[in-house]
Amino acid sequence: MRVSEYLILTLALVLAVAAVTSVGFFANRVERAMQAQAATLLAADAIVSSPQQITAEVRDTALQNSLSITDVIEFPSVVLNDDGDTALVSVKAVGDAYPLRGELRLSRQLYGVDRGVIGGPPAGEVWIDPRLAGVLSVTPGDELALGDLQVVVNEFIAFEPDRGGDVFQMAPRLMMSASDLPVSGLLGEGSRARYKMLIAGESRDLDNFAGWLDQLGDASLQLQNVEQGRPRVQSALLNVRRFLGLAAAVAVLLSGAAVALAARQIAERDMDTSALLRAFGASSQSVIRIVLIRLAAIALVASLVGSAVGFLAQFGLSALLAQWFAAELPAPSMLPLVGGISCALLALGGFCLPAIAKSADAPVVRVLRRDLPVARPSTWLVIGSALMAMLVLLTWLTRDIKLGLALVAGLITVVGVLWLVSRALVALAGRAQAPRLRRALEGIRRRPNSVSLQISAFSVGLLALLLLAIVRTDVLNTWQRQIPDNAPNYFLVNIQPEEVEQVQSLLAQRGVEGESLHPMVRGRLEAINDRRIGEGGYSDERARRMSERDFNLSYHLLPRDDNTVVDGQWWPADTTENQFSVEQDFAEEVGINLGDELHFRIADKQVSGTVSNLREVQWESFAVNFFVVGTPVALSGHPASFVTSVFIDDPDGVFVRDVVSQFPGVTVLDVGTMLERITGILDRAALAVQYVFGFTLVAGILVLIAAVLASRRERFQEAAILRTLGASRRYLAGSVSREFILIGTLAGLMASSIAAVLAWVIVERVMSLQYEFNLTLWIGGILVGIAGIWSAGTVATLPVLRQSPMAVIRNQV
Amino acid sequence: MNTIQASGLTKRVVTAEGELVILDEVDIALSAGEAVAVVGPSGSGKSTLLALLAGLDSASDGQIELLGSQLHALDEDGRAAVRAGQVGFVFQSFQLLPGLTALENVMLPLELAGIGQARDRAAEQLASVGLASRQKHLPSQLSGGEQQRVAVARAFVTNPKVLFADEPTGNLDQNTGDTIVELMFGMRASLGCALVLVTHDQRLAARCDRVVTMAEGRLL
Repeated sequence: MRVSEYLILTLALVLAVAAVTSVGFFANRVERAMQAQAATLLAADAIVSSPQQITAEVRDTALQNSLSITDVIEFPSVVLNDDGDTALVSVKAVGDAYPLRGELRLSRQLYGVDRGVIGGPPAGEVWIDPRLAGVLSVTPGDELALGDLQVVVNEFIAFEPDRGGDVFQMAPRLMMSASDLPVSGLLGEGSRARYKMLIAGESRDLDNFAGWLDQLGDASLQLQNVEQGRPRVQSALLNVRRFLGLAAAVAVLLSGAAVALAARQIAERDMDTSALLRAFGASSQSVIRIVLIRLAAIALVASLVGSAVGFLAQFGLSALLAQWFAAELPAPSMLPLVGGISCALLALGGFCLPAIAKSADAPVVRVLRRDLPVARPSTWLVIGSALMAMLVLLTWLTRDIKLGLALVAGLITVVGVLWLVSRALVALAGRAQAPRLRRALEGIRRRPNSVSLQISAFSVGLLALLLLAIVRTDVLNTWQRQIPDNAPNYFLVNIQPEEVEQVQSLLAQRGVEGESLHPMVRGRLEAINDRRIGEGGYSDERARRMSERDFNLSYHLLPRDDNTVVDGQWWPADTTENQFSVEQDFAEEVGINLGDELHFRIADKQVSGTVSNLREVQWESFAVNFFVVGTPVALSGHPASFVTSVFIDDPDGVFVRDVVSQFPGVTVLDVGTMLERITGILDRAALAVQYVFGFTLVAGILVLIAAVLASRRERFQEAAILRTLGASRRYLAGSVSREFILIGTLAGLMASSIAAVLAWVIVERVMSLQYEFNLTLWIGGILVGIAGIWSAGTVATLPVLRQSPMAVIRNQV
Repeated sequence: MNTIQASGLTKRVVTAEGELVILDEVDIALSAGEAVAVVGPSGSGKSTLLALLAGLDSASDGQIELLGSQLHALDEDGRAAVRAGQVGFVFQSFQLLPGLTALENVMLPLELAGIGQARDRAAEQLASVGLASRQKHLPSQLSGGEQQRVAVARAFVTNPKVLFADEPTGNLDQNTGDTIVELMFGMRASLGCALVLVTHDQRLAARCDRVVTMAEGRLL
């Protein structure tokens, strides 16, 4: 028994560290993979940009740092076709290695099948945006005049990784070889161009180069990496890090609980030894020193073994997941190893130091009175110390103390709620009268705290997995199912005012009649009443971005059937006043109220008007909608383009080609492709988070085993007494099975039910869709709870079933 | 027929220093209702003898018959089945289940033996040891003497044919110990069950029908 107590402690610590490091290593790889994928949005890991040519010194330093580099030069220009038609284009001259991350997708035919390529166009060749093909009526093989050059159009650009930006604004792309630039005569002194050097390589080398560039202090050189380069990518990465960090944090917390359980057993065991040592005259400091040295040795061994197990475990698990990722996961960094060892030391410090200190300070009189109650440290001290350890770990994990604090607070709330629900379930179960389950119920009643811990620890992971499964299947399906069959599948944008009638007539030919073409005016909100935008702050980042960017305004006289005025009145048809109607959620986020005076800057003019109503918009209808709509008198005098959304069954792409050929400036957006891409991204993100939470489920099982192991002494005693009184092994096994099946049922019931409630909230309240309860998943959750806890509990109690009744005589239990 | 009949009983264990003989060719028999005290110095093999006779452990050699069952031919579950409902135990350290109330502890052997009306019978038995008002108390809420009284109630609740007691007063003061002994012997007398009592206490041993002494694994 003595040996196994230490063995159990070491094992618990090994398991805790293994859980942390396996989550850490895998999360690290997923994060690096996502970072690499996100890097494709820059077509590089980082970009140095400048209004002048990048100097040789900068290039050489990048190369010396083992980084790959390539050039991108962007500038506007005009091209001519053989007929003398001209078009404004956004030229992008690229080096041979472009793109360094991601791939460029080209098609030989207009809107034909595309394929991925690496490397820019060869000298003398250009690749163009399909829009430009419409404008200049060019087909592959045609020549264009570009500056002093005659270039051949050979490919259409289907996807450009680092295009980004706003599709409504950009002139059509023309991509050429950077080697053609010097002879093209396109760039002279004072030409408007943006020079970029794309960089890719190991993060350490990138850091070194960034450090050098920073020291160089050239204000004209800007370094953008994935995280700082683009707000949207930055925000996406931050969210990914938060989700994975949260999943890892839950694993850390559960591992900490496992360590604490095992450490408490050791502390209680040490109490007698320390009382004896002190009875012989040892000081409490020397006793503490002995205990700490022993624990440190255990921590060292356990953290090394645990880290190794964690490291190996992530390889197998990553292999299982390889098919989920388009690209192979990169090798993990060694950072999680430091995390594993730190976790072991911190767990010992934070989760068991108070207990250890108390055990070393045990009353000496225990040598005479072993029946004295075990001295335990103050609960607040234990919790405070554990929380401090958590905060340190989480801050280290997220590199952000605010986020660390928020995560600790969030974890306390989630675990607290789960603990309270578990405790209530245990109390209810304890009162149940079921003769066949009596011994199982006794087991639960006797160890309410331990059982509640087991239930809540297991439920955390299960709940997260179930919720993500619901989101991945039910929520996305519900969303797609509830999109009407005839919802618009094409958006037509950039329609010029003089093209409106012709577009309407083309649509009529395709059987689409009466579809509104909405005027769109670009404007920037400058002030709300007397408060200028940017002053006073916004509660969230999205609100700030929404208020500060240029956005699209529209105008119409009559209210639309698919918008509902929820506050105020729609303007009268004969209004001559400047008035605005604002979408209600946008109004709330930006802080706009009914009656407010909005001041917009449109081109070089200021337009002001009063908010006369707030509208509710059904965004999921895919109809064209606007955050802000004005009266015609307010907006119709400004430059506008038109936009519409239509449903056209066009499997052969005839409609798209007709639009592009007749209206070269009009951009056609395929909603189906966009939706497919959005749901694909959501699904993969949910899978990644779900995977990390899978580790949390394993960590929950580890806590369960640790809790069962911590109660094994008691269970051994019970088993020995029961065997003495005539109980068979089958009887003991049946009792243990029923106990764990009951605990598993409670855990599964709690996780499944909370997941269903949260799914209802997401679907009904957040997405305003109709929620359909998924009985299969609910029952599945309960069955997983039963299977997980029963198998883990049975494995942990197998030695108990082999307990000999002789232990009673020997008083060894 | 004897309640217990053991012959050539030997128990050997393997230690780091080699094989150790704990019990060496012991022969012993108890007739129905007979009380036998086993005395001897510490390490003489008293508790091992008790464990083998009760089927708590298996002998290396020899034969044991308990209540007509050949224990040496049975596995652990078989021996447990023989004990269920027929054998009572009182231990020095009480050995109550800490999570069960006094009443539930007394009910346990009845339930394991499949005897009906367990709750009523256990309550009655608790009352007979003077603990009617302590039914719902957990062992930790009882004094040492009270815990041993619960253990006595548990031992006798199935009306066993044989009772094994291992130093039943070893953890109690003299007065409390005397009370327990009176209770135990009184109940044994009324039931007429056999008793195997391991003790250092000569006064206690003297109350039995027969005293056997052990030394170095042998009966003297």
